[in-house]
Amino acid sequence: MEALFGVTKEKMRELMSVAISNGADHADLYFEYKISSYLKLEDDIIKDVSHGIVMGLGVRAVKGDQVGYAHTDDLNFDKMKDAAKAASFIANNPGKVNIAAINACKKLDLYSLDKLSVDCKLDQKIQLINQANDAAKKYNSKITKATVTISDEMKQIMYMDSEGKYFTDVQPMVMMRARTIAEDGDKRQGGYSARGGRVGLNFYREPDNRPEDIGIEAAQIAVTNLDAVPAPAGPQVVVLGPSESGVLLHEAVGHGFEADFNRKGLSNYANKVGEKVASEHCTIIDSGTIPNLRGSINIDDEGNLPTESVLIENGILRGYMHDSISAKVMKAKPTGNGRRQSYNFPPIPRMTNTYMRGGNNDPEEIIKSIKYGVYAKRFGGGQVDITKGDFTFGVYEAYLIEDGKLTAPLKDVALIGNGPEVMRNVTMVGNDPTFSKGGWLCGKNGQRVQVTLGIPTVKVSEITVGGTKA
Amino acid sequence: MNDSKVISEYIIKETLKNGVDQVDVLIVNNTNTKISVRLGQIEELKQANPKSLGIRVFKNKRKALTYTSDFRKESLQKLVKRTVEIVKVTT
Repeated sequence: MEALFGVTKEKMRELMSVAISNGADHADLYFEYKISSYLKLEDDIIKDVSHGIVMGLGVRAVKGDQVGYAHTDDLNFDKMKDAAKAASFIANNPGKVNIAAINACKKLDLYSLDKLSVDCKLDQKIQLINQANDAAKKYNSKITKATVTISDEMKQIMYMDSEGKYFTDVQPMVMMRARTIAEDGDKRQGGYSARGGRVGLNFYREPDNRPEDIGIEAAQIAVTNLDAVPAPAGPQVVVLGPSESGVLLHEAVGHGFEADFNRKGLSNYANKVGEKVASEHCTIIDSGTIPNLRGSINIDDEGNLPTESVLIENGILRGYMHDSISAKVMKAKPTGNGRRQSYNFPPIPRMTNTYMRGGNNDPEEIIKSIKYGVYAKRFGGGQVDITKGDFTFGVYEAYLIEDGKLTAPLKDVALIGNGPEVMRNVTMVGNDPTFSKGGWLCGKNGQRVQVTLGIPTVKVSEITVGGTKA
Repeated sequence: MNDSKVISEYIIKETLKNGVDQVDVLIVNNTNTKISVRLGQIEELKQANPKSLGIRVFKNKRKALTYTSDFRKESLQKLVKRTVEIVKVTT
């Protein structure tokens, strides 16, 4: 991969010597070459196509917990040296430079590079989105609009640091999204569905991942919601459906376990290792080690192996998610959660695939146990105060539970609550843990990284439902 | 390839040769630095040197947009080919 970036290992070591020359404790280089493309079909025509390449180098110099960071798109050696020099000024104590011998890092092998979407002919992708579009429109004559997109990328990265760590990785990603509108008289409802991950185009031949499945699912939701009734407002028993409800774990719990928030004392989970923070039914894990998932990584963006970090085990707080800096400052082991959006940013602790482990209850048994409540299946946008865990989420697919059965679809449902409180109120956990295959993007400190999430069917004794029923 | 004018002329020539009606090329190259100091300690130190090239082509009222920061000749050749391919499918 050195040829791709036009450097040699010797030149990389020279750049690192410059970055560390003012007395930094650590320096690293992160080279990235990303090819991405996007294709959008709307109203049966190709509305938008883009394709591009972004390449560059990010140089980081670390002194204590302070970071100097410089990046350049121009990989001319003088420009790279300028960047290394700029980053070096985070420290102010020029001295002897010591850079360890190169030692290739071990990494996992979680994604195949077979039939990558970015390498395929445009026609192939156009055919796929047409299939999704046709399936959505054929599903029901009430579908008046469909939009299908496919976005893909291939990221090639090369890393070296002053402790001698060195690795390269190729990270693929593809995502197909379908949006629909259903209309009936003056009623109008939308639907959405998406599938993808670190996979090649063959993924869309698998059962449940075919373009038709994606189009039909988006259409089904929109058509179902045409008959939706106003949701009951106020505190209710709420069942979180498997898969997408995991966004609640991610937003309202997961962020509180990112070690930088804890180190700075900003999280409500700070200094609580060993304490009971959730109901005994809850075991919550962040794991970047699951093949082909969107948040999975063979190695994190500073050369640490991803791990299965147990955040909460049977209700007890076990640990946090670390990058190298937070692990050092908090005297913990790195957990492989040091990630960055691109070479334009330094790595920070980030989630990968965050999920709740399955429990003992049959999902049907959970619904049967409820006389009156709300079943929340798919989540749209939301807002979260990461430090306290307060959240509001829009739910775009929800049903009423009456006498142990799912009955009417509900419209305009919002869930309002507090993440830690919801975790304490979990009373049943299903044996159906499911990962979402959707295109989740997590934003933090201006950086967006690809993640996914998962959850089994979960019963929560009380969440406030924002509904419109009087 | 290094000279912006040479690169632009090359891309314009190649795309026109492949049958597009109109083309323009935009190249951006700059440097910016940000340093913030709080209580005598550097809180943030960042320098950036973004460089990028965008191609826009038109053919029969169809449009295609592509971009790159890889200015090497083989890579630009491939991108020109891709751009011409894209303009044929957009609406």
